[in-house]
Amino acid sequence: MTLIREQDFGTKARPGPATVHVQVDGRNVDVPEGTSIMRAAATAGIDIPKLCATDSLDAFGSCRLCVVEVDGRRGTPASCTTPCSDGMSVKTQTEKVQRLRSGVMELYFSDHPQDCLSGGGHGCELHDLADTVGLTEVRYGQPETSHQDAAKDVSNPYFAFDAAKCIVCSRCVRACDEVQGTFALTIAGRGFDSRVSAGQDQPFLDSECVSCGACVQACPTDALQEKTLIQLGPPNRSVLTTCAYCGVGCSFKAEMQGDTVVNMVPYKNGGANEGHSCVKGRFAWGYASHKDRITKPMVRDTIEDPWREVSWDEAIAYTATRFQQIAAQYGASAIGGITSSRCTNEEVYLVQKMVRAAFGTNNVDTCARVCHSPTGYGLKTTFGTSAGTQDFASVAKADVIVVIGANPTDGHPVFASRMKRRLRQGAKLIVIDPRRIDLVRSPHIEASHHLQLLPGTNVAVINAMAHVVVTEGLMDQAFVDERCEDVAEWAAFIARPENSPEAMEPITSVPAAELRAAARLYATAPNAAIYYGLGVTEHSQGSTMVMGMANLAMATGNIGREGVGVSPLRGQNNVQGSCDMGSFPHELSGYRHVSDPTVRELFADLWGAPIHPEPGLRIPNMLSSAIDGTFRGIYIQGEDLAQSDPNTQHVTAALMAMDLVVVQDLFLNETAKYAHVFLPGTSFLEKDGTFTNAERRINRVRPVMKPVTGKQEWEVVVEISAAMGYHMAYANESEIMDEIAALTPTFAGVSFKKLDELGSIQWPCNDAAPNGTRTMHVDGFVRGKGHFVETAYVPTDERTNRKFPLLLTTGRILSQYNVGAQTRRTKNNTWHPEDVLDIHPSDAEMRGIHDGDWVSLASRVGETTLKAKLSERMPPGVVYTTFHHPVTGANVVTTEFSDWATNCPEYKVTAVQVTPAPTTRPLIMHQVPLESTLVEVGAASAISASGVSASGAGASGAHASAVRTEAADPRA
Amino acid sequence: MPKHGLDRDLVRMANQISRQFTYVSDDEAAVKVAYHLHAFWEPRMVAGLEAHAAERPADFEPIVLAATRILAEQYGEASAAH
Repeated sequence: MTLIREQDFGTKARPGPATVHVQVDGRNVDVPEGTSIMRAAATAGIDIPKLCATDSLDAFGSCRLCVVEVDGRRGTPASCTTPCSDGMSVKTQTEKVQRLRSGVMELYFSDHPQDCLSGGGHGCELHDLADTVGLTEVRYGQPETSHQDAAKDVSNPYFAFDAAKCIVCSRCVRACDEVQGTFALTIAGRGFDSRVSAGQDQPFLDSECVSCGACVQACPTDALQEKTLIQLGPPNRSVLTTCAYCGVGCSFKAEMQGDTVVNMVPYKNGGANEGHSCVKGRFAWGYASHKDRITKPMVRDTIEDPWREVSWDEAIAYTATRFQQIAAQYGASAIGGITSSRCTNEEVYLVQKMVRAAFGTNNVDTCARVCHSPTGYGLKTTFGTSAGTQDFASVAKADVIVVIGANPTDGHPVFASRMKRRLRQGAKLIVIDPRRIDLVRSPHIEASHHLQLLPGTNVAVINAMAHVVVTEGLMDQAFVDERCEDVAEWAAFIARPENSPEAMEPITSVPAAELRAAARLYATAPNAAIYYGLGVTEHSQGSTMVMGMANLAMATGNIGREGVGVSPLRGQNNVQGSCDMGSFPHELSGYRHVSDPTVRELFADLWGAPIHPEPGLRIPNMLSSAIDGTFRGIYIQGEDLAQSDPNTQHVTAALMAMDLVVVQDLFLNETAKYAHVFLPGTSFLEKDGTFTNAERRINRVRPVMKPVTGKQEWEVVVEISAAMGYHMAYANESEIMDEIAALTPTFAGVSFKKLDELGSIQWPCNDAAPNGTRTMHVDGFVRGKGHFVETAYVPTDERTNRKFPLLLTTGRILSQYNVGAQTRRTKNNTWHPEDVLDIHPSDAEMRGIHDGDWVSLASRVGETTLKAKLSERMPPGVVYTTFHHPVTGANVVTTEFSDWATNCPEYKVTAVQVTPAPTTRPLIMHQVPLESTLVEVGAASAISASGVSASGAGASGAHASAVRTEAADPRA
Repeated sequence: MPKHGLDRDLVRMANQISRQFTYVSDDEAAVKVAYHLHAFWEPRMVAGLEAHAAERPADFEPIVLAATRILAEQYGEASAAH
């Protein structure tokens, strides 16, 4: 059992073509020009003592421990700030240098807790260096003044700051600045009074600190330390794995004592994150051992019955038998499954295989349906592949960055840190968003243009930008002539006057002059990159907008190299992977349509089962078909439809209409209230497999402990299939990936062995690209020529009116994640214990609403209650909320409207009204035709689930639709 | 009604799809709509659309009606095979 310790070279690498030859303590080493002496020494295997230096930060030169002697030079320069020169000869261990180091260390320890001298915390570099320099006593005695009585700051739920142990090396301050980009810390005071200060000398929790932990990781002493480390003591082994939160896919070292996780430390060699992380990945992993975790299978005949714990054999037999009965009675098209974007590629692959081969239907879909399905449609249509074009590192070469419908500082914080670094270096920023997101103006960053458009008008804006490009002669004609097709038709379409910024201004509310300036900035930049999120896709023209962005990128030649591209910021840890695995009703793995007989034959031969040639049902169609009675059984892997999908009443009515709902998950969730079988799932700490992030990067997920449920999720799926008569045989997860690789050209070269060798692989990985592919479409588009598509703006059918005069848009927040199943079960609740409604002060004043008041948020499909927060981040007429807490039920108000091509729900545009709520406790009420019943959350309620099913299913017209909203234990 | 069956979806979705192709002629749009429905709609959805269009054509945009005719003519065998 070993701990993984990455080498710290002390200062950053300086890649470059020129090389210098130096000698360090007699060892010859060649390094790129500009490399520091410290890094050159480390390269030669010599560790020069250091405290203020670390290779994730710029050199600082303050601790004076790293001094060396250089032949022919006076004095003892700091090796961290001194670059090598050709022919330099360095001595790192002369008597003079050793004396200086010992003296410096003695000074540090003169104002440091004495217990550190003889023992130390985990990874305390100060303690280690005391040994290295041979320091055994401090001759200064007890000074009259010291920092030993400095107060500890334990305000942050995850880490503590003990100022008594701080040596004011500034590594934490610099990490917050350079790595995270939040600038929450500073050194206050001067001389002996110097101290690390958060915010305006505030506790960490009250400051701008976003709890990313970069300061904790950078601290060379125990001054900043994780509370779990303090509580449990040092770990003794590490396991490399991948975060299970967002689509950045940070690599972590899970540091363990036995099977207990002590802490999660970002892995410096992680391709996506390079040693950084956010509050969720680094600290919010405790949900995996939360008391709510279900570890035994459960079944019940009806959703009114209490749950009954059963053995795995009984649960699997029950599940298989019920699916078979339904299929026998209603046909195979009456059953299907939904895969999870939180599960591994291997797990997702097997569920879609079970549905196709064992169930005998293409009724399989994934949660990408509700987020990035338009990305798949739009980028495949224009470029030929359903994925982003760049890796995250590409942003470092961008000169102009466009962020559309995304809020990366909250949703993809580690990528946002990279982006902010580039912006601080001088890249320009264009933000296209109804909200004034943090990136518009934050420390050292200001957007050149914020196009604050009305929700639902994305395509109008992108068309207007393209109009500017075409009509002002800003097209990269050489690029489009060589690499694209259908250019002339598109150019003629986009040049029409109705697509001009002036014509679009009344529709979008974006001033024409501002839009023209933004378009010119994008089009004239040497490298311009587009990053986008669900504010693009979750619209009635989500797919159209993706194609519009692709058009713009092609028209300006911003494809096929670093620093450019069209990059979706994919939400979930494996949403890219679940799409790659063919978990779509119309596509097999690698995005190949089920109608293609050659592809079907390939699968049928290997699987030994025929593949249906017609597309299956998408999730929204499954739900509507369930209400019709033609879809009656569903296997739901790791998805909480009843909380995450729009129009909650429709979703729950559909679930109640089905004969069999099987949920495979970690916790009993909103969907499980309507389930007949609950199969306990595994957390990422127990899984063995791969996730694919937004860069197409396939990362390993390695188990740190055995499954607490007794089975891996894929084993359960194999057993259900077998019980249904379709046998699959895999010895382990590696064999599942081998099968994926055999069937999927873009994965042809992928294997667990290769992933272990390379660390991660970006697909395509095949004979043409044996080590994977960083940047797509370099020499040509995947489909051959890039295809321009005419993207006519069609307004959404969702309109405001006198009854619902405001537009609601939704999004995420940094500390919580999606439906909150994971983060609500951690201390992240410290930051966001409830969803609130952001409302502009003028809209609030008109309604007599004050900050913190309870308000009713109503749409034509439902109503909920939550607290108001006055904010000028949205324009008047637009309100905003998050969807992390089921008690709020934000999706009670969202509608069935969706993207025309993919049915991705139009979460971002809902006509609503906001009024003061008549009560002080949260309520959820569903709109009903004749009467309404209010149900108080948390209050004893006579309305049970049986009341819901009796009234909700079948009958039209008058009925009371009362919904139990408290997450009470259905087993009670 | 907040909850609804497939039929209401089909009308809304088909009409919505047809409105995306205003940049081409109605004939071309009908071809594109038919292709989209064939490629992405499950057979019961196509069948439901065809049945509704036959019974209540006034619910649909003309392009949708033209697309249903193309579906039956060009893709009818494949649909029937389900």
